Amino acid sequence: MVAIVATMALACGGGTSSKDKTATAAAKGGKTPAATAGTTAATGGGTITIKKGDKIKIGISTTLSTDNAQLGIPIRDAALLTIKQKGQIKGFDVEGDPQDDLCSGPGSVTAAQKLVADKVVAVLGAMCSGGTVAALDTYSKENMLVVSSSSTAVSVTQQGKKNFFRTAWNDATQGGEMAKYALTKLNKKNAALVNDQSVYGKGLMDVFKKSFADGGGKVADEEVVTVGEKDFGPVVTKIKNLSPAPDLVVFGGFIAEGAVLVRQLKEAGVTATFMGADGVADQKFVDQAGGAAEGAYVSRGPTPLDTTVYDKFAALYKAAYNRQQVDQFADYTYDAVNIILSAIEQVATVDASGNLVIDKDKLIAAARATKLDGAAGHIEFNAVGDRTVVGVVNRIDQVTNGKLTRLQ
Amino acid sequence: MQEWIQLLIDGVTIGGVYAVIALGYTLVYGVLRMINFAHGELFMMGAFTGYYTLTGFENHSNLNDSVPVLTIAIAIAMGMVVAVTLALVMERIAYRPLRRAPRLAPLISAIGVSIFLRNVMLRVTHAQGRVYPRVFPRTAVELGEIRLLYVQIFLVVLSVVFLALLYLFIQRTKAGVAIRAVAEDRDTAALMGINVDRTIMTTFAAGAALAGAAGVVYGMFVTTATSGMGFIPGIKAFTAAVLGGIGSVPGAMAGGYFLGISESLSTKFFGAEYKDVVAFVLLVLVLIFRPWGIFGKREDKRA
Repeated sequence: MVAIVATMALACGGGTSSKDKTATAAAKGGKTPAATAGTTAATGGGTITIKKGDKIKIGISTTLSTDNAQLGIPIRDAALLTIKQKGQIKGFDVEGDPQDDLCSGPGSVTAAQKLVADKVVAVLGAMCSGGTVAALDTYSKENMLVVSSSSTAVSVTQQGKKNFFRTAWNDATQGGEMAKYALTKLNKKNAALVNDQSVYGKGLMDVFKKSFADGGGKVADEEVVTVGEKDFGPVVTKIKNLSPAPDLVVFGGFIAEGAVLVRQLKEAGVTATFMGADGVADQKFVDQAGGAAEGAYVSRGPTPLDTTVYDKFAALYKAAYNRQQVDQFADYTYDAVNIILSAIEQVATVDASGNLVIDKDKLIAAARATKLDGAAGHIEFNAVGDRTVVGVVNRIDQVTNGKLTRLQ
Repeated sequence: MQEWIQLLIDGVTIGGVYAVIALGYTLVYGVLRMINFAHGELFMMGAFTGYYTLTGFENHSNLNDSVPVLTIAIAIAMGMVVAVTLALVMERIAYRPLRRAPRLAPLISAIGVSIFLRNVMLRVTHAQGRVYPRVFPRTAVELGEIRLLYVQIFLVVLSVVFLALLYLFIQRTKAGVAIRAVAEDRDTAALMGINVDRTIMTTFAAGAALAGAAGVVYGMFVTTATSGMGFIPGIKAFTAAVLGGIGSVPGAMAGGYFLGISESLSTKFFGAEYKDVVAFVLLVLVLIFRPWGIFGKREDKRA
């Protein structure tokens, strides 16, 4: 018994953020199956104890400054709304703890450290794939449940982290479907690819490139833009001078750069069709493109055609924040936070002295067992934390008369 | 061949922007031996002022259609006024109290001002970019495959005009003489009866006016304004100023064009992902062989 407690203390040593939590975990060590500690390596196990009267904190790692805040602030808002809607779990108030992750690796790690120090129960985030990949180590050491609603890069779920899930679709799905759509429906054969050098943008374009080439298309050129710049003249010039001229320009990146790029391509006289992905799948992209996005195609991950849950959330979201449309990722965020909240509800128990006790392994197991008909479709997770595809198609929109119009 | 010319044009365009911003860095450095890292944000504030002015005209009258020249001039003037006002306030609040402090203090203060301004605009705009109204005809001058937007021509011409005006201001006016005197030796200049405070304010104002104007024109060129848009041009312009020789007005100009053109051409040579690598390798090379920059003066005395 002493040996087991010692092992548990060791196992949790690197993992828990405070001494009292370690003590709690060690004290409860006898109850936690020793086998779990053995199989989940040094980072498994542990419990979270929330004292009577304290709040259940949910970390929100999203981008609140820089140009990408236009994607990140709606994620925060959707998360806070979902938490507010829930209100309480087992008599304990639930509250959100938003941190700015700057859409970057270092920023997301800093946000992770802050959230760990804040003793949050679980985390929504990080917003950007590069950030999530970087921050996952910090969270995994704590054996903390992390659900991202927007990190889509293939590499995110290749980290072998048991505590991570995402309601956003893996770009392996999206990139392939985009290529297929371009080849078969749009009949495009010669594409120029542009990415923003982010883990997301680069990763998505890599998938697209492979699928497009496999399907018989030709990738004429690959270019990059720098996040934060506004003049892409040289890149546009290169694309314009490609011979033969490409019939498709595909962009992997976010709204700020995408809107500028599509405008400058048009101004330079590039007539190739523009195709963007979920990083620009938002009315703000169309608005900021100032008319130049007309006719452009925008892809998203598989999206249900049955919108019952989505519509309910949409009404709630628009009313709460007085917005005209549901921002990109807000629906995925709603589902992600609901998964976190429902997992807590399932495993949290109130002990004799009125404290709330949450077993970390059980919390993660509960998230893994999710079967949710959410705003972003039916959600179940596979072994690595990606969504399993159940009878849904990739969503493609086209910009017509200044609005995103769903084609499929 | 035509692609090369087009890339050269792209490079001169962005190079002109770098050059005009770089002048602000160089002027302030020359006088105060201080890098005003909030200078890029003055550029950004100029771009927003231009946006608000032009949309104001668009919404309230048909002035844009009838006399675009006038609205453009007013927008640029407004951008300059706002940037100058901000620069004077920031000099008074954030820099003047630190003038005799160790060199690092005003530098950190400047970074603080930069972050402050960026975040204020982030709040104001809810992080959403603003799209400039169309003041220039979107059609371009076409020579074969080469395409020149009107706004691009305007930008290049204007940057040259600004550079020339500044040069005349520094060389030919009394205030310019004062700036040069303070740059050479602040204490001796004060003994000669030069009002140092006023001269420093003039310097900040001149640099800010250029940044504000550049912001408006750049905004019209890229047709957008965002809270983060001053950061990268600011860093690049600072690089250009160092490249040309910080403290030197012709150096800032040369550095700006040199950086813009080398960035643009390296896109073709090495690919866009190496654009910044090339630019900064050039910077390092120049600094190894000429640590005082292309046009800078050796500062043996101070070293």
